[in-house]
Amino acid sequence: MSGVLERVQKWIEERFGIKSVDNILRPIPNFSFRPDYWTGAILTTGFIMQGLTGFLLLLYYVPTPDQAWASTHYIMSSLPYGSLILTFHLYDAYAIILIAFLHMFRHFFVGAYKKPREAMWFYGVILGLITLGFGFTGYLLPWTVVSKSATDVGIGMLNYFPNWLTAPLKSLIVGNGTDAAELTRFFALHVILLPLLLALFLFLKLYTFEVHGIAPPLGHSESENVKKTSWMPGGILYVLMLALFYIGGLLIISSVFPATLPPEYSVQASMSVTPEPDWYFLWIYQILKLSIFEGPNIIYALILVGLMFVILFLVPLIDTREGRSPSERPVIFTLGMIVATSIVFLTVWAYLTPGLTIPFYQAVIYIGGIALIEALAAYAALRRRRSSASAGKVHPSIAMIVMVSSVIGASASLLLLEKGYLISVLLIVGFVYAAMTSISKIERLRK
Amino acid sequence: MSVDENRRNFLKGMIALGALVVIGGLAKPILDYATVSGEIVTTFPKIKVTNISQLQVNQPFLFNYPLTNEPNYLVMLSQPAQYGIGPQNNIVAFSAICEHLGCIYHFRTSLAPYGGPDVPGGHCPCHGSLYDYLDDAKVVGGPAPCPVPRVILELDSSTGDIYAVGMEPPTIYAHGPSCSSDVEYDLQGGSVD
Repeated sequence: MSGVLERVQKWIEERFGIKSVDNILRPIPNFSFRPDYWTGAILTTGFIMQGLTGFLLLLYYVPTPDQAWASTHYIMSSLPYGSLILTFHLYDAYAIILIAFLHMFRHFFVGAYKKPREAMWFYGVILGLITLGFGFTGYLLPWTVVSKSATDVGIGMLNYFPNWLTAPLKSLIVGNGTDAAELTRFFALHVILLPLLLALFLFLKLYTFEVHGIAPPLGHSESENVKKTSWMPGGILYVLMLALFYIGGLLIISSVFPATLPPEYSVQASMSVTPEPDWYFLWIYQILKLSIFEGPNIIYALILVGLMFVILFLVPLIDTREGRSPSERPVIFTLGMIVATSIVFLTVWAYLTPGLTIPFYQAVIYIGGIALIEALAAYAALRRRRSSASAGKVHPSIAMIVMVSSVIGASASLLLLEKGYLISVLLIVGFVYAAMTSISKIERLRK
Repeated sequence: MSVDENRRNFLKGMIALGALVVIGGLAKPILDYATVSGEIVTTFPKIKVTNISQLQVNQPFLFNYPLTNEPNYLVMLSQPAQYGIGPQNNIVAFSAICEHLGCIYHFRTSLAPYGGPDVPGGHCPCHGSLYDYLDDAKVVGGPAPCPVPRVILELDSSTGDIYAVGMEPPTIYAHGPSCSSDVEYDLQGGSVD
């Protein structure tokens, strides 16, 4: 049998120049057969599905102010499987954004951005911004009352920048400022420019991935010999399995919970809604709502958020030491934990306080509390690790437990926000205590 | 066999220069093409808004002026207002776009339930900005950096027609720099129907 297969392969190679996969792609290490090593592959799957469903939506969608909502409504209500395709496109976008955040934090916490993979991180941040760009432009396209109003608020923020910057930028994004120009441009960005940029940077990233291979697990060096498996068929089957699980899962969710289309935009209709950005921008929105950023001060909030992305981009250049384990880079690791928790916290908080100005002292108490507790937890974990006989590296799962529990704790405390923050603080402390106990349990088990 | 490095570098430089000229030459046309500005309007048009007989007390009438993306409220208040027109000086019109972040705010017969004084005016659902319609839309609460601009109205007393003829400063939100005093910005970034 294999003789036939080899002959077929040889025949193809001689005529088409297509070699066997092993001559093109390096085999993948066996330790990587775990879903958390392949979040990037799931994201790629998600983007491919966005392309396919996006194409199907384009067959009927009309990007004009008087047709956009109607054509979306037509897709959802009249076309066979239209609702499923549109819902899938929406949920796939949500899933991509969520997994992209997880993907980023995962690689941050295992230190995968370190030499020689700095370029992967740079490409990743750019791809993340492209993804958010997809979200921002796509939100407007159905022309619903909330999405159009919220997008206008987003564009309007440009006004707080100096005019020499605002005028050309606005002219590029919304043309002459009419509704028609705004929609046409967002549409063009969403279906042409952003996909092109995505393809370019995804190609660059996959190329670099192929050059460097998967980062070895913590405590193992790059040069170590590990067992490997060929892409054909092991790797392909594994990634295909993940992809199909992802698509299947999304399909089930899309069929069980079909999206509903909010009412069409009109100035009259917008008088009765509170514009809210989609959930993935809520944490930024919450920062903008802080009382110290009222009025023209909002520009400082915008600069602050911009600065966060700049720092994020520069992470591999800031943390250049070789060690990847949390105990070898406790400061940046803890900062990462605080940022991750704060993003979840701010998102839930924004969801609970639509359209309210947030007193600054509240933010200081909550974010400061999270930061303090996590810093203390990290410090305690570090001390414990350093003092133990087997001094060495803290396993990432320990830090993960601290992080996950404080995320849950912080979010749960928010849900109790109405009941006063004393309970919330107690809850956070409780979660951290539970996490610390489980850490010591794990360490005892290890010994 | 020796390689003439100078010659090589010169050729490389020529290629780089060529690429630069191509990219530079393309950049300006593309940018110019993409940033076409709207219709140039330099003076405020005179547009009929409604007729005084159509107005009911405290029922805001929504109209676009001077551009189609600039909605305003025209409202006949139950008491005289500063700069109000009409027999009772109680008809005023203000931009409906909140000066804070550009949400469409709501007209309320009293701002008291929203933490403001007991006057008719605007309440923005986004971040709670309050505008006092009796006092030229003065900010009486919330984060708005300046009042919403007033539409200059004219009443033709023979027919009862109400016309919009211009805008008072500051500029409408998202037109020109935030809260600018140069009302010409109100005529940019949109079209006149």
